[in-house]
Amino acid sequence: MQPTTSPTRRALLLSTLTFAVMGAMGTYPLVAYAAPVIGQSAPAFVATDSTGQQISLDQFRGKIVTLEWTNPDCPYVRKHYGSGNMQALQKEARAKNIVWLTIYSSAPGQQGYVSGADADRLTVERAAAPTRVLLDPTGQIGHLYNARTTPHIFIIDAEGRLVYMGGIDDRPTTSTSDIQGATNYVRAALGDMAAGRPVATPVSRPYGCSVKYAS
Amino acid sequence: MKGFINRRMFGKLIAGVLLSASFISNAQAAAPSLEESVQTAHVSVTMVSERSTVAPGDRLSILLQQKIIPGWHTYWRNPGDSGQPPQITWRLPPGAHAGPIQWPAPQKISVGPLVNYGYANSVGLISDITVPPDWPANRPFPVLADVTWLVCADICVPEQHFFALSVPTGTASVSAIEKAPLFNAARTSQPTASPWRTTISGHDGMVTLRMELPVAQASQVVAAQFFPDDWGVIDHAAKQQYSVAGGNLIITTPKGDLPPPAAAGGIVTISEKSEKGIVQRAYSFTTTAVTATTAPLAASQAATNPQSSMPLMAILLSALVGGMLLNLMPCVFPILAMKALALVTHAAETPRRRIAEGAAYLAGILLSFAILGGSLLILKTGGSAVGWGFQLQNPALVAMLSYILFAAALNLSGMFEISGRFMGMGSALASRSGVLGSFFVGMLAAIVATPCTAPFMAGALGVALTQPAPVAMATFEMLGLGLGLPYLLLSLFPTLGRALPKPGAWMNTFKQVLAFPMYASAAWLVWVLAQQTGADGVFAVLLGMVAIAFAIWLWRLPAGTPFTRMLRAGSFFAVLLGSMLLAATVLPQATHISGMSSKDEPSEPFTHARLVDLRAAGKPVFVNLTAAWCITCKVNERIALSGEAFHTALKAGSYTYLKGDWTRQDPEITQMLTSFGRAGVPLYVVYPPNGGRAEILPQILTQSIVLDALKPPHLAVATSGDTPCNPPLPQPAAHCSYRP
Repeated sequence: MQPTTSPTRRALLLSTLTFAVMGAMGTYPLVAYAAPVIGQSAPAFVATDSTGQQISLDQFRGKIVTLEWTNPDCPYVRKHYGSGNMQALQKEARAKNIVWLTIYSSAPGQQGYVSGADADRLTVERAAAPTRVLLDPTGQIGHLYNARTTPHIFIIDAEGRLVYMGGIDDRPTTSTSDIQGATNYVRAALGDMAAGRPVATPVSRPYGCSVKYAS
Repeated sequence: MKGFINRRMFGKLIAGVLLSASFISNAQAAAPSLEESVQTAHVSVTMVSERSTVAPGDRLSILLQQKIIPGWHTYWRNPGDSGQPPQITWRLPPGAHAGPIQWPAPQKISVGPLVNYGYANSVGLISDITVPPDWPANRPFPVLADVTWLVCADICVPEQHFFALSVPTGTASVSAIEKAPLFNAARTSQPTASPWRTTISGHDGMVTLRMELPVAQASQVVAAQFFPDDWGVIDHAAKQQYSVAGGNLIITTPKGDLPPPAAAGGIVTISEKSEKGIVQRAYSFTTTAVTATTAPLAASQAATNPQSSMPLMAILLSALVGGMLLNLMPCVFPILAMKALALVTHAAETPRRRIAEGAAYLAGILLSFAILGGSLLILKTGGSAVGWGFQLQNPALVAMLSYILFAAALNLSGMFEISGRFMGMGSALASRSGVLGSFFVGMLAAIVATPCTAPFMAGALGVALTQPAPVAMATFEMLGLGLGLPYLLLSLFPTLGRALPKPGAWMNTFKQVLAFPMYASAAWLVWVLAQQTGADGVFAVLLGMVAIAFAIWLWRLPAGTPFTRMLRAGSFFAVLLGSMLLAATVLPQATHISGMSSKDEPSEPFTHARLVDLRAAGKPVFVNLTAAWCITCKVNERIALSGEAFHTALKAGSYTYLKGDWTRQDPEITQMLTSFGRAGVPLYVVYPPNGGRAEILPQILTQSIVLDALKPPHLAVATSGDTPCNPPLPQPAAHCSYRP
């Protein structure tokens, strides 16, 4: 038995360590894009809003937070904004002291990519009522939540846990006439939370145009 | 001349043209319209009728053909991460009914990091409409449809058109021949219904789809992709991994937003090697679910890959116990009786000789099992579909066994003695012949024991046969050890010997009594032979037994002179040979009579094709795999599978009773046994209606077990039809598909 490790042994150890680290790094992208899970902590993030301020999810701890992915040129988004459906939801939420964050994850050059100024103008034009509008041109937040469509809604409770993810309602069409008789999952979820009940439908199919990520 | 057509004339000309055009178009509004096209910015959509005339009550296929500009796509019933499939809202006269869209196999379309399922370039969607039978024959049948679709590239555009067709009606339907190529192309692009058993399961965030392909086809697979009918089953964008194990195609992929479903439908596209190169085929299927955890061992062994294994110790231990219990089975009992008698006879012998005989008996058993097991493994590697008990599937072997048992019974009856002098050896070796005798008795015991191993050993044997040869052989030998162990223990421990009564005249009577179980076993084998070969075979083997008895009598004749000794020997061997030859020539030609089911038993012969057909039709099936030489099977049939209650239960649940007879070799039955992880019969499987999960019944049946298993109603799995419904609920009680 040698008292000190020989050069060969040291080299072997080092290579093994390197490979192990590389292997671990290699799996990182898979980990980063894992989908959020109902009942567990919603992924934390920090983003720039339309006015240039840094906003983090943590600063809203203690309040219910709703995330809404949007793209104003998408026919499905236009269905809900054109009819006033989305604005009504936002106003109802704000009245209950719920934070509403509208997020633009379109990459530069893609449909729905907006600058901060454009985003604010659109908010005024649409008579929308979000608490903040977040700009996510790199798609980082979108990937964190596995946001796939516009619109795509996520609701986070006051303790930071994800309680709802999916579409606005159960009629996946572009026709405004389908809003009236549809089951509005967002309204239902917020109602459940207000009454202290567990959310009856925590997952539903999100429908709409694809989020215009960079790649 | 210039100015010939001046302005006023031009105006009149246009008016005239427009007027006549309106007349023409009005006339055409009343005319039949078998086709209508619309060209939007991105898609050229045509709705076409397959028939130029349709008879009332008949089916009318309508094709919606989409030709999409390059770079854009439309969607499948499950559009994937985003998008929306085409929706047809039919406006038909009352009494007419439109079926759902028949979806062609989709492609995976990447949109950045997201994935959609849909179609590029061109797609044909066929729907079948039934014309009401009371439709007046002269009135054209109107087919009106409000069609909306979403067409996307990197941006999405919803489009819509209202189609109006009018198909003439008549007494007989006439196909529009020029449209046939369009319809053929659309139908060819649809997936084929898969005839194979498919299961889905979920664990650790992954969903696994398992499809049981024929082994030859599975080995040609080079790529496979799973498209679920419904949203939320899988992560559409994640890479799918496929593997081929045995005949199973296994596709694993991360799960979707919903928990893994109770059942799923979808399409699997398989790329496989063929003579024409790599060919891609699409198959549609519905699955039965396998829950990840709580299924009991036997059921999970059967429902999943038979290569799921018990730990080695468990296999060997159950083989040992099974062997010990075998001593009590009717097949082995006569042999044991003989050995018990020998033990009593030799109670006065030295312990050493007794132990030697016990060991020799065990050695005979072990050698027999080694030969049997070895032959089985060799046959399997050679490709034969054989299972445990295969030696009794051969009528010649059955005949030989019955001769041996008959001769042994004659020996016990006192018709002849096997003494040392028979071999021409001295009396000093008489003891050795006792040992040799024990050895051969051991071999005999093992051979006759094999049809009875199933009840205790089925699972362990089945698993052992899928393991490498050393494990399989070890299992066989443990079985043999169990079989010979009680007798060996008896010979090892003199205390037990002291418990036996002292030798006396009663021994002779006892020996003669024991002859009768042996005669009974021989008779049973003749009965087995009757199943396999019919009356001719029975006659041949009975003649053979007569010949043996005659040969033995010849042998016992006092032989004074060398000449008479030679004559005796000659005639003995001649008769013996004669009986062998008789058996050998008659038996292979004797026809197999499946006298397994009586006239009023409501059973059908089991074939794999029939089972697949019934399952595909959603009908419940009860499968009974049995054999004439399988005593457990016979007992079960007598106790639980015959009689009023059983037949009533079959009828009440509308079960089709498939009975598989494995008395002679049947590769289909062997295949079925193997797919459930079994090596031998009996096997009882209950298939509920509508593709539910199969239930395997235990090998020892009681009437209550069978009646409980056949009790309707079984929970039918809700299949997705054209009923409109909401997106999946949090508790996946029923699975819905989207309105086409």
